[in-house]
Amino acid sequence: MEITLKECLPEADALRLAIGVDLGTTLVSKLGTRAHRDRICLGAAVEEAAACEERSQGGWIGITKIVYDGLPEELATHFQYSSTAKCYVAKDLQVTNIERAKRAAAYAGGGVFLQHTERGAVVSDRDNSANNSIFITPARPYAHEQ
Amino acid sequence: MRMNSNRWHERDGGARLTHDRALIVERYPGLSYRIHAVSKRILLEGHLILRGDSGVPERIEIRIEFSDQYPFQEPTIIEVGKRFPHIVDRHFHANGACCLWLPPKSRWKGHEPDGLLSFLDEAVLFFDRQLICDVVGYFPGPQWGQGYEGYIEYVQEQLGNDRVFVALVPVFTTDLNPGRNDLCPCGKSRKYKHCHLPTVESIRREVGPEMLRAAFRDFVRRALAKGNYAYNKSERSEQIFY
Repeated sequence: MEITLKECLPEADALRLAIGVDLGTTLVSKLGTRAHRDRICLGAAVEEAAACEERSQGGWIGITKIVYDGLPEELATHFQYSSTAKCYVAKDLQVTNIERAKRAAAYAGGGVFLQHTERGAVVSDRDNSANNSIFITPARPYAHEQ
Repeated sequence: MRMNSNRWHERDGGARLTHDRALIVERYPGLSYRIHAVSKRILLEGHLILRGDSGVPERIEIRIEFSDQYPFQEPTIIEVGKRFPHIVDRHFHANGACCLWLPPKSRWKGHEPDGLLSFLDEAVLFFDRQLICDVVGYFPGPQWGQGYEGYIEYVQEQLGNDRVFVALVPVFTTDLNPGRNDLCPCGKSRKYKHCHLPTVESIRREVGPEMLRAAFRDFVRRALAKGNYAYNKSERSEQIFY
């Protein structure tokens, strides 16, 4: 989100986002007059997520225990309990890093899927065969002192 | 009659260059050809864009250099943006040249029309693994040992058997030169020419006799230093303890 925001708003380069997440039943609606409606979200989980976000510093993702308990292990390892934020926090966690850690296992397992798009080469550990991706077992690199 | 130029991109009226350029424009639009002002050699340079499932782009600046033997000799790809440390552990030479593979296991397919695209696809995965290495702290997936070790691993794989490998070490160091009709050093009761000679010749051809001898002499030197190698030339017996 931060990368996209800075791409769209270069003047916000110094901005760091904090994110709070909780899980629970909420009421989602739109309020206002015609053509001037705001989307709203009400509920205890929203308040708790907002509290996590407010107690977190820029670049942190704060999640409550119920969210933490539901995370798969490879994601849960990025979070640690913070007494200041009073929730589980991951610092400077980037989606690219999570993806790359998953792809490390794919490379060890035999290969990855490569797809060429107008916006560049997409490398994935998932089969996107509907999008003309091809499975490649990469060469074993080598090196020697020159 | 048209003179055949020494420059690969001028041969046959530049047909190969025209063909390659059309492929590159379609698949890797961030790259473009340029003629070096001094050497007059053609370069392919620019950037690769790599994305994961999230779509976040990563830009890698590269330059590809072609020898006059192109497409019969593979090009050299150089990471010019210094995005990664140019060290042997990361499979880079000091000048940023990427070591995509062990030479005998080269995947370069110069004889195929889209050989350059396959080469660039391999380069994309090479750089993707570099990005992963930055995150996880190790180079993902299989790789060859550095320097002579890589060639020793290659020979071990070709022979497919540790016992045979040990028996043939003196052959590769050239301390032992069995005749074609001698018994094979591997210990089987077969003539060398009907047993491991074809494999040994194939390995020598792929690696090159000089590199092979140097790699195996280095291997024996290291084994001797550890005290786990013994070879008796007169009795033609050898032993390596791992």
